[in-house]
This record gives sequence, structure tokens and C-alpha cells, in this order.
Amino acid sequence: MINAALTKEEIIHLGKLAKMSLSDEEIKRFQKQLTQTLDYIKNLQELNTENVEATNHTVASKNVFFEDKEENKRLLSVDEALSNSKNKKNNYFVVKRLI
Amino acid sequence: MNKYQPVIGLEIHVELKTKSKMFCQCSANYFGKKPNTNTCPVCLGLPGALPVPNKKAVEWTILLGKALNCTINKVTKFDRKHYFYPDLPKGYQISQYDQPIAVKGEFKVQGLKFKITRVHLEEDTGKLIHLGGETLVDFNRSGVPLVEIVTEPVFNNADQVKNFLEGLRTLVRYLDISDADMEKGSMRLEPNISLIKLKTQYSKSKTISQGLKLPNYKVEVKNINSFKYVKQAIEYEIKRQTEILKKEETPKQETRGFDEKKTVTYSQRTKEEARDYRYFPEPDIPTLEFEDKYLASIYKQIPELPQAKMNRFIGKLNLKPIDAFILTRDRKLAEYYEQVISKLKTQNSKLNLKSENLNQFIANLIINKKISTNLFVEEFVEKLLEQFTPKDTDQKLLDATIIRIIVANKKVVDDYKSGKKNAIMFLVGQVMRAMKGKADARLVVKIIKDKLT
Amino acid sequence: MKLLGLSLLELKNLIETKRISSKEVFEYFLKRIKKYNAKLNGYLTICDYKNNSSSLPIAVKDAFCTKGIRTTAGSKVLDDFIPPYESTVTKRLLKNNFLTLGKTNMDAWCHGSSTETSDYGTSCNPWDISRSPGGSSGGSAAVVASYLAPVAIGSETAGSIRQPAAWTGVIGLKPTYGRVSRYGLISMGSSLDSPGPLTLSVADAAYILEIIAGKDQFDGTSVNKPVSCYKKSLSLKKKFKLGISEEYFEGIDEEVKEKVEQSIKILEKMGHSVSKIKLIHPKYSISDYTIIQRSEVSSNLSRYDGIRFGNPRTYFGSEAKKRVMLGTYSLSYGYYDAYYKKAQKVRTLIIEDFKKIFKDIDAIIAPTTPITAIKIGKSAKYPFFGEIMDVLVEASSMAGLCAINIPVGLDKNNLPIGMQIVGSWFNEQMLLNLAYQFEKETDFFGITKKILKKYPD
Repeated sequence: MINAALTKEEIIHLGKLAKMSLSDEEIKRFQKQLTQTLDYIKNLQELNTENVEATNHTVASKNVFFEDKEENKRLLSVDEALSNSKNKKNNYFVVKRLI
Repeated sequence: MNKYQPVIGLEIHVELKTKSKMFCQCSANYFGKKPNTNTCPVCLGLPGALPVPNKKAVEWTILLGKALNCTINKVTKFDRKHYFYPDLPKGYQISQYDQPIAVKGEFKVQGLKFKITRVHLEEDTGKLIHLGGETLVDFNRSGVPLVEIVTEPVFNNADQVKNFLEGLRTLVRYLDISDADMEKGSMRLEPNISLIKLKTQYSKSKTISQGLKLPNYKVEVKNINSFKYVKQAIEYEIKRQTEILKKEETPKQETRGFDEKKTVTYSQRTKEEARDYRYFPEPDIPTLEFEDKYLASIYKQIPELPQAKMNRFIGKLNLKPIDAFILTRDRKLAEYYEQVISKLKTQNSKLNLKSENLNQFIANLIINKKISTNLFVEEFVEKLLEQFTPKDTDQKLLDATIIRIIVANKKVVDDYKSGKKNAIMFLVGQVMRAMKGKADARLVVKIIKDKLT
Repeated sequence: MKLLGLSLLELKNLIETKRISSKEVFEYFLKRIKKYNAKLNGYLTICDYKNNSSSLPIAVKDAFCTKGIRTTAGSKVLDDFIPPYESTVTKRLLKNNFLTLGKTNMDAWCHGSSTETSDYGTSCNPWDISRSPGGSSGGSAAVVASYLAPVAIGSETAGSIRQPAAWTGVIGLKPTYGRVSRYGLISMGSSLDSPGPLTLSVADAAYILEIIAGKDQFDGTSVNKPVSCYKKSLSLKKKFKLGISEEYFEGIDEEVKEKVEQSIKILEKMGHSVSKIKLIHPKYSISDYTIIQRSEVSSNLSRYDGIRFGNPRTYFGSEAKKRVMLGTYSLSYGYYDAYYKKAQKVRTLIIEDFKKIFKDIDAIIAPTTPITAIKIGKSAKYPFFGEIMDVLVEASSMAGLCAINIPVGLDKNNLPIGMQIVGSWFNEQMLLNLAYQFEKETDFFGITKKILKKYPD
């Protein structure tokens, strides 16, 4: 496991990746708290996981599919689809121009 | 001597024409629908919505992988690929990362073998329209199944890429899993292009698979919306990079768009080598495990593929390679052709043909559109027999008719005699009309000629 | 007619035999809500009664999408979100004659064990309103304990049903992962989330589970196992093999230990056998759970961009931001193997550990929480409060096991102490049966009725 004491730059980078705006105070606080957390979870190193498979699902199900058909019980009307948006126009969702 | 060799790898997306989307039951046929009229909580990425995979989409991906001679992974899964963009409702795309459905394949096109790295399945994003100061988002397309085919960087020029793409399109249409129409967006190409500086004459003949080192940058080109632009886009980019390299500089690693009006590529955004997608296995979808029996049942669905059919047309049906190629570009056309031949065989009639090769003759009729292939096979054959069965001509009547037509068209006869050789065709036409087609046109020409000399 | 403290099944019976109308029952609860909710802040949204001759009232945690009814997940990001679709859990309840009384308060995005991270203010523990009811299903627990609803639906990722149930002295059932559909439940930890009921009687929990459990075509992780007749099998006089792990009694409050040990003795007297077992130390579960949960959380909160619904990401509270940051870190390039992948491997060890144990025993008995309800505001002193509070429930959640909290005593401050029974995968029948036997034997020491004295009609 990586010996991590998170730097300010790393916190800012994480904020960018996660698209979370961080105040200076938050950056400082998270730097401390996240480092504390990473420090605690180091104890997993004490457990030997060589030759152990990762568990991605606790259910033993495999091959769960749906059959390709034309029936759609969950279709939303255009009004329903847009009902919670604060920025809409002519049945489109609207954002600030990207390119 | 060209000092720089292009090194091109392709990323191709093919939209599957399943009935439903990849992870929900919304229609996958979104084209032309009014905005946001084809969504549900799942493809709209609403809180609490969950994905369940479309069985057909998985099977068709296996089909394509196998047709591309890939190894099909018996255990496969979906992964989340994270990035933020307004057309990606969940903030991640459900795709496949380290355990894709198919890997390590090969596709032969026009004698050249191209290595396929992987074939995997994912979901499409919504569509963006940039208008004024805003971008409009439509999620009708969000969640449509996409198969991604990645090739090794084994292409050296635009023609190879174009041929490969055409071959792939034909293959995909043969399998009937996609319309693979670039204009409609159901097939998309993103070439990765770089140039290698060749140090010596000797290394010119080497390829990537022969150990030639990859360049330290690559440029991805997006937005090539039509087949006709593929060659232009690639050749422009090669030229652009060559100019930069000539100045002893390295082209910037980036994503570029293609402007079809100006036929140039332009900078879009920097393609960072490690754009952090934070892949991890999709917890909402259990693993897929394929048993041999199941895979065998899917493989059975693979029809005779274009290359094999073409080879058979050349080898067994004695067609000219170019004609075999043309006929096999469309599976339905090729099948129609074979049905005509087999129907004719059952008729067992004698045809008045110039050559012995009936198969080639039929091929010509079809390719040159002499008889429409919109007709039912039986109708096609009927028309063919009508035109080419030698007719029982009433010799006496023919003779009399010819004399009559000659007498009635003195001016035309004079034209012919004075050198206008084509004038005879008018007379032939008149005779054929009078004989109600019951005469051999070539014989008529001969008799008239004889009578007029 | 005195309705105070009646179980759901008792109310159902009264309605069905027409001794009272469903409208009267609803009005009864709405009156109580009007009286006490401002103090307890259990409900965020209170619903209108819909005229229906036989409907039963239920409170629903605000993490479930209820069509046409505001759903916030306790966060201002979804302050005005009105889902255009129904979650499977609430759909099944509606189909079985239930009607939502209201949506209950919760730690925002289920991030917490005290309901203090709710953007709508914390809920209060009915036993002592200066204390937390636990979380994240704190609102659900508070309204059931104070009888502002006869039953409630909550959800558990690790502890979010059991822990508030323990702190408020009610029954909290966490079904096996995959037993109940997550479709429509706002995702926190996709591989962990389990919807379940909070009730005042075991029979009510069994009844609700029968309704909400079962395969759902819209949730790929919901399992195709037949739903048992949980209610019917309550009265079976079965004897079970119980296991006690010493590690689960380390570092916990003395009074909690005392009451739980007392109850174990009662179970023994009732004829159940008790043996010592050894489990991987729960301290590893804290680390393991922290990584996996935060990784999944960081991913699941990516869809909240304010474009199709909700407010912009700037509305996220501090706790959510913090968890997303850590989750982003543990999934990021270069760290994935060391953190996320390692955690998933440890998870396998935990699962194998339980598989081994359940070969020889039917249920694990342990305290639900190390301490009783803390004072509101005190959670801040713990660096990762939630995980530490949930130390005794994390391992079973990571493995996807089923578990139930039952009240077994009060501490010197008159605060409830909870004991948990953990069962093997899909063995809810055993769980409910054992809890029911204990209920019949002890009546939970009158705890569920005692609190109602504080909240008369």
C-alpha cells in the first residue's frame, strides 16, 4: 500500500477529477482528514491476500440479461423526462455552450 | 524517398440495431425521433435507476468478435468508465475494460491481414447540439448498444484504412447486426495517427508487428462523418504531421476534429496519456460466463462471410474477381444471384448466349442492371428467358416484313446507303415491332444488310 | 379506540374487520405527526391521504424514489426533485395496500450513522431529544419509535438500519443483499445497499419482507430465489445453534455488554445452543468497508450534475464531498490496485470466513453498536465516525448477509441497547423465527411500549 500523506496539490487534483468545488478551508481540512483515513486503512496490509480473488459481487448470479424486445414499460413522456430540469428549451436540456 | 512512415491504429464504433437499448427497454432506433422522447429512468441516469444488459447485444458482439477471428473470453464483465460531460448522464459510461468480450483477432482485406486488438460492448451517449451560446442535450441516443473495435497500429496509409473500413462494413451488414452507415452515425471511425521517422532504407519495410518502435505521440481524429472523408482526413493529418516533424518538432498529443468543408483537422482538446477514467467493475451487473455449448450455438449463426463467398464465386462459379467482389458486397444481392442461377438450372431451357459461362452472364446482367433485381427471382428468370431464348421465327413472314419495312422507309434506306450506318437500327426496330419480338434481332440486322447491299 | 402502539398487523386487522377505517388510521397518525414531528424532525415530507378503503400507513426513507412525491436523499442537491417513477420497493408496497405517510429524514446520501449530515437538520432520538437517533435511516427509526408511523422502510449499506434501530429501541431488519430490489433506491454502495423494514414487532417485519422481497427484472443484482413464507414460519418451534465471537465484545460499553450477555443467557435457557466462534477482527472491516463504500459512492454521485434534475454539485455537503474525494482517490490511476482491488480481496477473506462459520452454526449473536445513542454534535470528534460506530455490522454487510436488531435493554441513561442476530445468506426465515421466539419470551422487556409514554396521543 502506498504511504500516503496527501499533498494540497493532490487534494485539488482529486477535487477536479470528482468535479467538487473546494474552499481553501475544505482543502486544508480534507487534506488532514483524508490522510488520517488513509493512515487507518493501512491495517489491511496485515491481511495476506496473495492468490485471493477480488469479490465484485456478493450474489452468485451470473448472466443476468433482458430479452431484446419492442415493449418498453418504463418509457417517460418528454414532459416527465424534463420535469426536474431547471434549464430546458424546446424539449432539450440546456447547458452553457461547450465547443 | 519518404522519410516518414504513417502508423495508424483504428477505433471503430458500430451501433447495433437491436430493438432495445443496451441496458434498458427503450428503443434503440432513435434516429429522427423528437428530442428526449425516447428515454426512461435508466438511460436518463435518474437517481436509483439500474442497468440490466441486453442479451442480443452481447450475442451480436460475440458474433462479430468471432467473425473477426478473435478469441472470445469465456468470462467477461462490464466496467464503469468515469468522466464528466453533459451527454453522459451517469457521469460514467458502462463499458468494458480489462475483460472484454473478444480479443486478439485478425481481419483480411484485399490480401492484407490486419490485427484486431479487441472487440468490446458499451453504451452510447446522448447527442449535443451547439447553438448560439448554449449546448442542447438530447438523450434519445443515450444507452444505445455500441460495439467498439480496436485495431493494432498496423495501417500505413489512407487507402488501407478505407479498404478495411469498407470490408468491415460489409462484414457487419452480412451479420445483419448493424446498418453501419457512417452518415447516420451507426458506424464511426476514430483513427490514431502518428508518423515514424525512418532512419535507414532498410527499416522502411518493417512494420509495427516486426518490431518497429512506436512513435512517442499519437493524434486522434474525430468527427469523420462520411466514407468519402476518411481518405481526405487521414491524408491531411499525415501531411500536417510531416510538416511538423520536418521542423524537428514533435506533433502535440491531442484529439483533433475534422472540418469537412475545409477538409482540414483542427485541435479539440489535449488527449492526456493518462486521462483518469477510474475504471472499476460495474457492481450493478453480475459477471457474464459463457459455456461452450452456448458459444457454439451463437457461432452457428455466422453465415458464409464476404471473403469466403467471394472466393467461392471466383473458384467454383468461375466469376471474374471484380464481379465476384461487386456481387458479394451485399449479402442479399449475392444470395439473389445464386437463387437466379439455381432457378435457371431447374428450367433447363436453352439460351441463346454469346459465351459458355452462364454464371458470368447472369452476373453481368445484374451488375449492369439489365434486368431489375427488385423483381422476385421467378420474375427475373422469366424476363431473362423472354429476352434470350432463341425464338421460332416464321421465316416467310420475317422476309415479307423486312421487305415491307424497307419499302416504307425509303429515306432511311437512302441515309444508310449514303454512309449513315446507324440508320439500320431504325429499320431493325421497326421489324422487331412488327414481328412482335418474335425474331432474332441479330438475324434481322444481317438480312436487312444483305438486302441493302 | 386506542391505537397507540398497535402493530401494523393489528391495525390491518382492525381495518379489514371494519372496526376502523383506513382514513381514521391515517388521520390518527397525521395528528401525531403534527404534534411531534417538529420536535423530532423525523419526516421531511408529509403526504396527503389518498382515499383508499383499505390502505395501511408506512413511512419511507427519503432515499427511495416515490413517483410524484419529493425525494431528497437528505441533500439540498435534490431539494426539489420529484421522481417521475416509482421504486420497486414502494411499488410493491402500494400494490399491497400501503400508502406513504411521508418521507423520512436521513444522513445525506446515507453518509453517516447519526442523521446529522442531513441538509435538513438532524432528527432527534425520541428517548432523549438531545441525542441522535442513529443513521442513516435515523428518521425512519425515530418515527417508528415515537409511533408517528407503525412501520417504516429504511435501507442499509452497513448499519443504516440496524444501528438506528438499536439506538431507538425498535426492530430493524437488514435482508440479504439481493433479497430486495434496489431499483429506485438512490445508490450509495451499489454492492452493499439493502432495503429493509423498521418495526415495533417481529411479525410486522416478516410481513413487510414478504411483500418487498423477490426477484426484480429491473435490478440485475436481485436474486431469483423464492420468497419464503416468513410470517407463517414465525411460530415454528425451532432450536438454533448460536455463535458468539469475542472480538465483537471488545471495546464496547459495559452496560451494552451486560445486557447482550443477559439476553444470550435467555436464549440458552430457551433451548438454543451457544458456542464460541472466531471471526476476522472487525477492525479490518472498518478499513475494508471504508474503501469499498467510498469508491462506490464517488462513482454513484457522478450523475448529480444539475443538468437533468437537481441542483449543481456546489450544493453537496462537506461529508459527501469528503467521501467522494476519498473514493476518487482509491479508484484513481496508480492507486486502484493498492486500495480498491486490495479491499475487494479482503472482502473475499471476510466472506470465506463467514462461509466457514455458518457450516456449524445458524446465527451469530453480538451487540449491534459499541455504545448507545450519543449527544447530537459529538460525532464530529471521531475522524470517521460512521465507520467506527458501525464496526460491529460492517463485516456482515460486506458479505451481504442478513441481520436483525432487537432491543434488549436500557442503559442507565434510559437509552436503548440493541442486540443483533446475523444469519447466513437468504436465511431470513431463521432470523425472524429466532427474533420472534425471543419477543414472545421477553416482550423485548417492554422497551417498545415504554417510549410511547413520552409521546401520548
